Amino acid sequence: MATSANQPIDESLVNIYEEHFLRHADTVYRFAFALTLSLDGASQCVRETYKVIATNLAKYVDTAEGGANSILIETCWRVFNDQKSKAFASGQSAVTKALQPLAISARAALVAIDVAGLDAVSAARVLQMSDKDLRVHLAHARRTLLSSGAQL
Amino acid sequence: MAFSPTELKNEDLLYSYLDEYLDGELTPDVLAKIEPLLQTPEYSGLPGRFQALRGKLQLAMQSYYLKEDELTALNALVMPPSEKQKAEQTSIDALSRGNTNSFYRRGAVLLLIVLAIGASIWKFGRTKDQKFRPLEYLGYEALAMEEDAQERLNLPSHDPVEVRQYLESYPGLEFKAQMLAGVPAGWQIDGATVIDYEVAKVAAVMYERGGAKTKELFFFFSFAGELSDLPASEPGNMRGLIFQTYASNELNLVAWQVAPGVVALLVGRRSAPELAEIALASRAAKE
Repeated sequence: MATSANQPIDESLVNIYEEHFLRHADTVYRFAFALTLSLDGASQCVRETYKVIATNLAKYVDTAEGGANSILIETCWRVFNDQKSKAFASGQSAVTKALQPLAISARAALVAIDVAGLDAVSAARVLQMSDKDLRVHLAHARRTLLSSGAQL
Repeated sequence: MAFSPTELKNEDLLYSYLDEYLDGELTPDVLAKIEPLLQTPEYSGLPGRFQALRGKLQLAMQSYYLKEDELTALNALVMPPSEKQKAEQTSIDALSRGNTNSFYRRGAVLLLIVLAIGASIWKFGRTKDQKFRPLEYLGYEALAMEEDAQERLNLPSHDPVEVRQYLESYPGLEFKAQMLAGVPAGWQIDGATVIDYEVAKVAAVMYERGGAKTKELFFFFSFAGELSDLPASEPGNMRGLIFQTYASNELNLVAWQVAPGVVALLVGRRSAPELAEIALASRAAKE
């Protein structure tokens, strides 16, 4: 059953949220930043992601332990795609400069695997790509960063 | 239809399986395709360069993290702070009621134990084996300073020169009190104090960043000792800085030998690699 955000909910669900989901908040923020290349955009994306999680907590009772990271990345990716039309001002950080030349799918594959620590099969599933497409995007991202001599 | 890695072009196969190659997790068919490629001059040294790039990317991404108020807002999505406080109070009240019956019985036993210990101390004198436990003491101290820094700082000051003079002229210190020679942009010194635990004295310098609502702190402690005196932990090596990391529920602690006979402990809510980066920035500024 979905619960409405901001309403007190069952204590065991609160514990799941706090213990399994909140601990990955910075990872989700980094993933969201790689997608939006904007601090504001990343904050908004993370907020929306956790709203979705909070209102559907009961669904994750059996999968949160060990699977929260994947669930969050998947939700964040969906949230981002739903809000794709929103434009965010990007900054000038070294990370932004390094990631900007990459397509969004390539950034998503790169950060999901090399930063958020998902394996390729999980990453393909949560990013809703075929295994082959995931590999092609990942290879493109790594090749581009290595050949550009990105100053991180 | 199941995906076969060999469907990929050679270059895509090579780059997209680099992490599995480094971890020794490749299936024989993929390994058989990748190994000859890595022998060619074009891709020679590629796994090493990828490993270095991935490390830099991970480190760079660590400077992106949510602020305390943003985390609080995420937490409040399942329970607003006021509700949470009420729930916690209810649990405490329930626990108190449950404990009332056994309270007096336990009290009597405790009183007997305390009297017995007191008599032993009176008879045999105070033991001298009290030990300074830096991780425990200074972890607590950092939390207490976060709560009410101004109450615990002898010298509230944003002036590094003033703080240095205070530490250098502090009477009775058996070691050269240290402070960070430089901190990353945005951080500034916020004051210092010397904590006297009787068994040891500790110099503490507090650093802050952000405004009133987003204020973030970390603490730099220095005290006499050797890194090897601390409990064993996984050693880290970041560009030559050898350090040990510890963590409590709320804080990360990074310890290193900052000078001969002096240990430094950096304590904050940032991740251990981020704290180690701050230590490195200081060392670079010193050099």
